[in-house]
Amino acid sequence: MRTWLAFHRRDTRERRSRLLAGLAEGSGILLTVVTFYFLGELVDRGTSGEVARLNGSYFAFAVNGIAMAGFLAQTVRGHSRALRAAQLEGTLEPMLMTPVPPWRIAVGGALHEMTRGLLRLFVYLGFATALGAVALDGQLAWLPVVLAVAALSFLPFGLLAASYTLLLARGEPVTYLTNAGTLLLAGVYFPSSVLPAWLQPVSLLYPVTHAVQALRSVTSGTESPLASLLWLLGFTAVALPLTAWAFQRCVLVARRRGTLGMT
Amino acid sequence: MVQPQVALHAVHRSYAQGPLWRRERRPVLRGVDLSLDPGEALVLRGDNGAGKTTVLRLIAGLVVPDSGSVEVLGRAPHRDGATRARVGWVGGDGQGLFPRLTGRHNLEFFAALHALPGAETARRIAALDEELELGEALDRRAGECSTGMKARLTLARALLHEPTVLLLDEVTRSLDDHHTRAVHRALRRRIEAGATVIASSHRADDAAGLRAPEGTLRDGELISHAVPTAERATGAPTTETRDSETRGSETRGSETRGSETRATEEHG
Repeated sequence: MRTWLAFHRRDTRERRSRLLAGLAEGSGILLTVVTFYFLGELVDRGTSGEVARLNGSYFAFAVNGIAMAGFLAQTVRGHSRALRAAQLEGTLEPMLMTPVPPWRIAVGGALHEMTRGLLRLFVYLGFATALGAVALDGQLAWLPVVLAVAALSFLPFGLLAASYTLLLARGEPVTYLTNAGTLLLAGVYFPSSVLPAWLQPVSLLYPVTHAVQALRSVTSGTESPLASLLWLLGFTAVALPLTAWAFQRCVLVARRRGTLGMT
Repeated sequence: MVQPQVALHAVHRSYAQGPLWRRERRPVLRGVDLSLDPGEALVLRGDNGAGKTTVLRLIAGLVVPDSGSVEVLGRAPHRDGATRARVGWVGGDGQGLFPRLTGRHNLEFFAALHALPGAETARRIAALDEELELGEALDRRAGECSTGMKARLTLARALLHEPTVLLLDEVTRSLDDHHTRAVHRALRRRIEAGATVIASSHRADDAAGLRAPEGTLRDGELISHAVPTAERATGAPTTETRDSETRGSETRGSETRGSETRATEEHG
């Protein structure tokens, strides 16, 4: 716990002067939310069968997807950026000379960015609540659990991005791929049921689909998120140790190549 | 028999260079042997590109040898995190600090990674402040510190967890004479306490300041260990280092140490 706190404190201290950037970011979120509100109005008037099944509100559907997809994107980007910055500053090597395992250094470096991602998600949900897209009922008590499990299930994606960064000095390809895959498969802007039949099982296997679904269950108050949470926990139990191991292997490869501190 | 704290045996290391379609390997080290016991120090000399930094990085476990073996405290450092944690590492160019954090916050961060309690961290930072004269570098953002301040901060970072082996890549390069003497004193204290120190340097006074023999790397081989220039010239310790000279005469020779060093130690 001390290690995680140390990473978080370091990054809070580094970024505390970015109040203006935070305000701009919040305004950007508000504009996105409003845009989708009006887009939802348009789609709902068209009354497609799919939207009718989603409690009748496309806006409520989309805002949950966007909020969760944004959290994932920030998690993945956080891992690759923190690692790259450490390479450039020359701080990766001293950190690897501490007793902290390399995968924890990668995750610790992304912790602050993940916290920001969570804050953004809350801002999205706050605006959505103001616009009547969140059901304020007992289901909301699940929200902290859903977010904690989603965060854990996103770590393997972050560790993959960190591994890529370590070997090739850039992590954007993993970030782009994850973002694009999420928009296509996870039911962010449209329900997975509109995908071709052969793509639907892929969507079902993609963990972010379940994270988005869990969030929708909680904010719509219609169903329990338990099934989605169990799926996510199962995925995390397998993928997190695997990607942590893969990252440690990448560190070893970088040691062999002599590119650990590659700039 | 004392186990060497650092042992390199027939170490070869090369680096890939050139574009992917015409990749070739440039050998940097060709069969380096080195063995240092507790309380021994060595100053590595050599031209730019001679392989000094590579030797230090190998011992730090940041690079793996192509062939041969590297052992620190009896273990391969690149495989063993616990061993690496007992090594203090200062890379070149004052790198290794978070530029937007103050010097103190940098030290506190690394202390936390070494699991040092808060009160102990504060005590050690205060002691290092006194020893290395960190002064305002502690409360200034690292990115706004002078190169000399950064060099002392990175050394403080490396000393914070009281390592058994210290690896220093040109740590005194940017320091003025006054701070160089402070750094030499601090390092001699660690050597006297049993730490093994290996420092690469282009400065002629580092070996004398540490009361350590010099090893020269040329064409990928460690060709000699010679006595510090100042000591060789005077046959006696320099004024600045006299107070802690006794330890130097007691230092046992490393396996690869040349006759010149041994002869001098007999003088001492």
